[in-house]
Amino acid sequence: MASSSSSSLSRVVVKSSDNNLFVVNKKVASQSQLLKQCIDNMEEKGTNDVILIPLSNVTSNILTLVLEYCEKHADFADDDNNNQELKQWDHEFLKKFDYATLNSLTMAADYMVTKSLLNLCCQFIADSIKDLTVQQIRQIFDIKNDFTPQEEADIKNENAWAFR
Amino acid sequence: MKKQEPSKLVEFNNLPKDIIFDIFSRIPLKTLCQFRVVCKKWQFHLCRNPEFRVFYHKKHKINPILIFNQQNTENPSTQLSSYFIDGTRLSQISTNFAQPLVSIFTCNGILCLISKTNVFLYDPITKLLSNLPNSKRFKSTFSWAFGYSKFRNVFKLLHFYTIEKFDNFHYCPINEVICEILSKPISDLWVDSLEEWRNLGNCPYEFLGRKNYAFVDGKFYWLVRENKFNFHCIRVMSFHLETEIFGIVCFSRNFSDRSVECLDLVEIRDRLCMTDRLPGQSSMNIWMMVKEDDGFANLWVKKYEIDLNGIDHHDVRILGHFPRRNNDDDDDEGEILMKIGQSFGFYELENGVYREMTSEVNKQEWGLQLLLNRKSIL
Repeated sequence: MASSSSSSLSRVVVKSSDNNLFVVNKKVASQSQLLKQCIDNMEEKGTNDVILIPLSNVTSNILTLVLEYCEKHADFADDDNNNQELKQWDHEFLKKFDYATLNSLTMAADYMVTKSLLNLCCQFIADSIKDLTVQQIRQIFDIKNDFTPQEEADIKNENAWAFR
Repeated sequence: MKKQEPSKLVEFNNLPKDIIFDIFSRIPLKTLCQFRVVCKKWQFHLCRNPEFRVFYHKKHKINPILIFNQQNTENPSTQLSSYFIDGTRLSQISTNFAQPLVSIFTCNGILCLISKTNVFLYDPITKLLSNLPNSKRFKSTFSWAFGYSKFRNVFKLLHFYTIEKFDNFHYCPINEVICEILSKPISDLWVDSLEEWRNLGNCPYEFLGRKNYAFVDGKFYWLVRENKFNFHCIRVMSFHLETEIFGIVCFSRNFSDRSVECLDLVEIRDRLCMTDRLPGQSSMNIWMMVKEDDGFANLWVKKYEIDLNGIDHHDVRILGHFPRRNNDDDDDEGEILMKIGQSFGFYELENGVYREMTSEVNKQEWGLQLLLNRKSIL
């Protein structure tokens, strides 16, 4: 896994919070600003060793998904013409997950500074909840209604215009 | 659906604040207000959390709204149509008051609708309407001003009316202008409450020009004349909404000999500005008051020279200023909304580009108000 060219790395190893190792191509890793920063720092120092980047906040399940996203987007990094195809892929990609996974993926995207994925997740979540009723929201996010019936009625009253 | 091990996954309410804000700010305002009832945490963010407000308004750049109004001549109803500034239709109402509306003012996203006998507050997004108490003096109304005091979170409405008196010194009848004030706390904006009009006594100076005011940073400003019998002595009168005290603003000699028809006061970029245009000229100067400290003179600086590109219509007015849409640059000068004769348009202050409002929104012969700062909802 040693770098083939003289002073630039071609691969990094990323460690998930549950101690699984992932070998990641540099171009793919660069989709994450966090990983890119680590690589750049090492390259500046002129290290030829393979570097290990531990991600203490991301489980391997979620990391697999982030890397899947990064891989796809690295493939498309050089051409803009396939934007439509990529958008389609993005949508299909997120559609597969339940909300709990989406939340975790969003958080991982934030932590790894993968802005396009963060943006994508936030928009996806927003789009899929904006037409739901309050009851449905509580259900899908498993949120407990912590208002008394009176409190709930009061808030509904104050915001009556929004419920019309 | 791929199921992950639940214990390791994140619940929505445990997401970092920034992510929750990001998701919320992509949801329409009306839906957000419904979501206040989901749970206490959501209610906190969506109702009271100032951080979320800042985030939301930064992202949405206080989406300005255009309010067109037209008086129906056959019956005493008024049509109000509102649009987002990109031309998207927002709402349309037809008011059916016993009296036609005579004036419409806006402040912080709320409209103040005034008929000969009544005063209403109206929110074009929520469509809530409330009736303000009447005053015995509405019959002799002279002028109005509608503003918001952010220290106490109250809207305040000033009402000027005239009474006839006999001036023993000059031996002639004169009209005296009296001012009264009504406060309406934002907390009970939409309920009929017991506030009453309070008399503030004589207005110390005499109004000039169109009697219209500029509202800047908690103060009203009007063009006035300091001495009733000296016609060449234009001044700017201020009224501080918090302290309810009238004052006089230092005024540049540059305009003191101007005819008042050339001058107008407007708010641009949170500063008091004076527009100065000679009739028939196709350019307009905008002076900005850049400093107002106790004990120091205000400084009027010529800030913009607007080239109207050969438009020499006698009636050119600035209706309001707003930050440019979809622009993250905080230093952006923004745009002003202008009325030229019967048509409306936007003028970009930075590069001096004027463009007419698109035809479907440009309602000829309608009145137009610019509604900004919709912060009362969120």
